[in-house]
Amino acid sequence: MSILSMENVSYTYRNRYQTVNAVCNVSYEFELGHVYAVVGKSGSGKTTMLSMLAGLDLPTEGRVLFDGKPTSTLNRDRYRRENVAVIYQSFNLFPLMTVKENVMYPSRLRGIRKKDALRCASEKLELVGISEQQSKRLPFMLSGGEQQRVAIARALASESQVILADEPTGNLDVENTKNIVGILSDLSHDMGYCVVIVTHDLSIAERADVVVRMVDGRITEDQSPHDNALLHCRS
Amino acid sequence: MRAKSSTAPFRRWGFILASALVSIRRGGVKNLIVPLTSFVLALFIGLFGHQIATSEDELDVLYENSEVLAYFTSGSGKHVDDLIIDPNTVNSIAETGFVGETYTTAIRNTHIIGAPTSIISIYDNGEYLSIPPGFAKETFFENARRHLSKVCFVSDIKHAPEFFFENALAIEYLDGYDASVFGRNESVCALSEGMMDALGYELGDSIRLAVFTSTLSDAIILYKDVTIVAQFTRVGSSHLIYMPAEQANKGYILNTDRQYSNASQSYYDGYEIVDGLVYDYEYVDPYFAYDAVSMRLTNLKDLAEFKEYLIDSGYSPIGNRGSARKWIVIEDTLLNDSVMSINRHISYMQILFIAVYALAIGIGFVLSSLLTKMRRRELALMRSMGAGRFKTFAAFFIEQALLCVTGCVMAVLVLRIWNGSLAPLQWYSFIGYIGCYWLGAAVSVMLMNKVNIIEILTAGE
Repeated sequence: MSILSMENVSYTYRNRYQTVNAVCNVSYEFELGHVYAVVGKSGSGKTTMLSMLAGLDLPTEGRVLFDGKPTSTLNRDRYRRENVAVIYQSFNLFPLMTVKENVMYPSRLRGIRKKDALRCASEKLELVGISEQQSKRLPFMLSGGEQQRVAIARALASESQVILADEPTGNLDVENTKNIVGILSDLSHDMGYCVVIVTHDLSIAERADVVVRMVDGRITEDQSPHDNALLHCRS
Repeated sequence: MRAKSSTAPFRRWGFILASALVSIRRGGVKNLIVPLTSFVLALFIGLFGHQIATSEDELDVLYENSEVLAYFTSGSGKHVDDLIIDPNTVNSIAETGFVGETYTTAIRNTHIIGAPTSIISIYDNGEYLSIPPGFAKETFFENARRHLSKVCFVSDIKHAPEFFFENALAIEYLDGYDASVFGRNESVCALSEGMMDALGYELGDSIRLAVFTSTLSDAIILYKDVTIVAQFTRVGSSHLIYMPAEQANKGYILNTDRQYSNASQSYYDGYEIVDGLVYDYEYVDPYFAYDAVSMRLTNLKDLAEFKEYLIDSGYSPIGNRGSARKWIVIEDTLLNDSVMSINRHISYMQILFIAVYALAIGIGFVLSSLLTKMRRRELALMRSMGAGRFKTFAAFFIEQALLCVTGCVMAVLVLRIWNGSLAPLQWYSFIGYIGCYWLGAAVSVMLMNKVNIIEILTAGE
């Protein structure tokens, strides 16, 4: 059964010159335990789709369902707080909070005791390979790869079943990219998370379970892991 | 790990507050601009508040220490005596609560018939005092009129019409007496130095005063023995003998011209003339007219209310004629000038207050905008992680609010060291300033809270 799905979702907005159909009549289902790579050119609607999945925006037509319930009927703040976690390309860590405080943030926001939030943060940081010493630093003292791992730890600390990543490796070198994708892949396969990665990077798509290709706001291909090589060749 | 306990909301808010404190602590030097600005503005506000409080204190002292007199006068405002003022009128004014003391003057014709020792024998014979032997009746009255003096019953000699416009009254008292004697019920009197010299009296002598009427077939003379306890330098043209107002109620002397018309009538309670004999009952209904009345007003803050009462009661400003045909002058020009001067000062300060408050709103808005603008990404991130709009507002607003309060606290400390203590108005001023700054900051954070989360979080990617 899908944890997150889209039913005839469209997203239209109007800029100064024209009406833009960012996402057109998209239907898709995301399941737990899988890594999805959403690929496509810039402006193909990937990030818009991710925003709707993340509850940051609502579709102008159709509906996004979480666990069978339309997100439009849910408390969207609560949905973002408890059901989905988002990882961004530019890490988006709180600059005035230490690494550990950053990871504690989702737990504290949910009203979890500081002691429990602290223990949870330590676990998640350890899971992504951030040492205790590093956890006491402010984010700017870490490398890009480390910051992104902190962002992943923070996503995990939210206890959400769905992790949405928007170009999570866009600012990282090859080695760090490999590590981050490895972590996300492990989380999905070992811990049952549903991971949706929006990316230009085909090396990430290669490691995904499902590759979703978007062109002009539409999903044109939905390929199984076995077809990844084909995807790679065609791209 | 899901938060299900009932204390979770409190923990969430505690976390918001703690986050604000962390941001303040780690915000760096730029965060100092808010407390410093607040310090300076609060200091100004505190000083303005001090100025206003001082002025208001001055006003209170002025109202408390000022002496405002009101007096009955003629329609032209030129005469304060020889009026016919109903005591009931005076009583009703006194009952308004605006009158501290009432000074009444009642003037009655009398005739000094000599020192008691010289006529005591006549009285002791048990005969009613009549025309002395050897005088024709007409001759007696003529003589009496020629030597007619007047008794002036006053509750305070300073406020007698003769001295009304005098700044200082030159009066000499017998040892053991002072001005308060006129407030007591004693058979004493004050004579002018001229009269004392002419009659050869000295302080401490007793004189016998008499009144009579010419309307009766036989002269009836009522008399009273009084001790001279004071002498004064005459100001007026007539020879007045001053006696305590309370003595008027004894009835011996007042019962003359105005009310006395027929010996066969009963005149007042306490007075009765039967078969040519006067029965003195000691108590006399004080229903008689005053010649002059002045009042020391109290409750000066509400003087306007008193004036309204007078107008409603038919009193008129000088030169006008109201329904009651009574005129009262209130000497409040000096008080009004002083009050106006202080109020003008307070008004200037209040205008400055408004200006600084408006400035506080503006500064609160601008500084908060500048400081939160740099942290839009944090705000968007909080929202994306599920912090509600109100929580993100609170997180940033609390931070600005605390910084502002910090500056105010510093200003309070400085002013306390400087002034010792702060007037309530100063505290209210600080609260007002904080409120205004918060208002500006709140508007700024609210506007910032409408950010496009996606746009900010994906910017620069």
